[in-house]
Amino acid sequence: MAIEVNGKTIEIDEEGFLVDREDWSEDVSEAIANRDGIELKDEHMGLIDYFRDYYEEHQVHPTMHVLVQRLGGKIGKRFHEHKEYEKFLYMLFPSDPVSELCKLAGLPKPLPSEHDG
Amino acid sequence: MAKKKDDKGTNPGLNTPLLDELEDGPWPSFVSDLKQWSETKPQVAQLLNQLEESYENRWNYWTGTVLNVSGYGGGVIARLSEKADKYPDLAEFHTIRIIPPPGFVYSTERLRNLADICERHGAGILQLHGLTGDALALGFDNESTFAAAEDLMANGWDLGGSGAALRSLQCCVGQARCEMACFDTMKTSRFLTNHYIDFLHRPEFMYKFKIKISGCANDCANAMIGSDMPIIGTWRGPMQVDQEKVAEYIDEKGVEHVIDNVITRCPTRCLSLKGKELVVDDENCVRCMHCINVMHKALKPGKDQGVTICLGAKRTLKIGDTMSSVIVPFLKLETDEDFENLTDLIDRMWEFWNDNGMDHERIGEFIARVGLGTFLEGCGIEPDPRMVQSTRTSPYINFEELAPGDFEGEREQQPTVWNREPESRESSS
Repeated sequence: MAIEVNGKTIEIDEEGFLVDREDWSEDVSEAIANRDGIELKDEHMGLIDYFRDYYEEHQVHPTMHVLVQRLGGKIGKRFHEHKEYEKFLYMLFPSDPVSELCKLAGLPKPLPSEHDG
Repeated sequence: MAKKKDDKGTNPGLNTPLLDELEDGPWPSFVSDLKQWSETKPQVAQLLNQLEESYENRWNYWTGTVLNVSGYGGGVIARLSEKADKYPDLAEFHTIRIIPPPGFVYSTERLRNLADICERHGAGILQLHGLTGDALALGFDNESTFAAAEDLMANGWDLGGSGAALRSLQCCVGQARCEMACFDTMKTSRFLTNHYIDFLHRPEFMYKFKIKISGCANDCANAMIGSDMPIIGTWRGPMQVDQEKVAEYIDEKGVEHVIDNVITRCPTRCLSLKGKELVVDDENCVRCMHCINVMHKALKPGKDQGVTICLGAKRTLKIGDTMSSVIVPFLKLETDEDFENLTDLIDRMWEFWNDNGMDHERIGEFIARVGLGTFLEGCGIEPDPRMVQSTRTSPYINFEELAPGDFEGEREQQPTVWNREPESRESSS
């Protein structure tokens, strides 16, 4: 599969992840987001930048735990109130925030957890 | 019952000599069931053939992937077959986890409804209540997973937890059906499920967290070995003894029977017989339930009932298998305020574990790493002498030094053990 961005052909796999991660640019992000029916706004772009920075530093994408813990921080007095930030993430990326953000930031597809049973 | 090989297995595509061995014996066999079912659903025949090949080559052909229903972070266990070219229907063979009703009590109508949905969209195989506590529906491909999830939700079912989330709660039938239960397990299970439903749907922890709820120490929900946080019913104060019924029981079974099966089997030796009267040393009773199970007409749990909350059972990963140990010895669980206290406690423990835990670290392993003292301090829980891994086998104190003065005459004059200098301690011995 491939998408056209600014007259250039970019290879993607059937789920929309970049085949060559060097191809990434903001326009490519936008094209993949359009394909998934998401309109990119400032909040989306900020998170995509965060994912790219984090990956460069750690060589691994941030997990939901990292997002909620570091970006969400402490919301409310009780622990369960911090779920509000996760709700916000699901509002931005309804399908699956971490996987979708990896896709839009041009990172490899997240692997399944080995111990999900 | 004779071998079922001949009368079943009419499906010509099946060639499963190794699996056929599992049809032997008088027990129900999943192989017989699936063979019968394979006549309706062709993918089940492929499933059996692949399993046969697995047995032959001693190799597991399933691989995992990530698949999520929109808005959910868990609930679907995505499985792909490595033998997809040989068994095309198994290319995608996902499992959906469904939250069961508390106590696993279904009306037959709801169960039929669930079965119909699973048959309509998937392979029609239900796996009811393994150790995860969920109702598992097997055999959905990518599209039918979404269709089945829609259909399930339209019919009032909800997807359960998978991954690093709070898992579906599991409880025994409790006061609904059992005279031993010390608190309302089904209400607790339902309350916690509703309160923490976001944690069930969207994984975010270091690793999984399981809560299981048993009404008494008989532990029908397997909480002590199978969950991070068992909530077990117990009581404080004396247990209820009906001496007339005790005398009746002794008349019926004989004194020897009572001594052999009740008195000497008490783990803390707190029972004795005085004629036909049962004397209970309640201070030494550990609420193990054995005597109550045997003499269930004469004995009953005490009247002031509540729960003990434990922490830390798990299977091997970072450290070996562990059982839970006590974290809150007694908590009333009746009014709304009590339930509020329970969620407050869970919130504090989760917060400390999430702030400081490492990747793939269960709460039991976390406590083993940082130490119970640090954990209690972090969660704001008061330490208690009852917080030991196994009672009465590991005394941390020298009993004689803490005993009251008259235990050994002179010790009265000595300073208490915690403000005594090490030298004087040596000289006194």
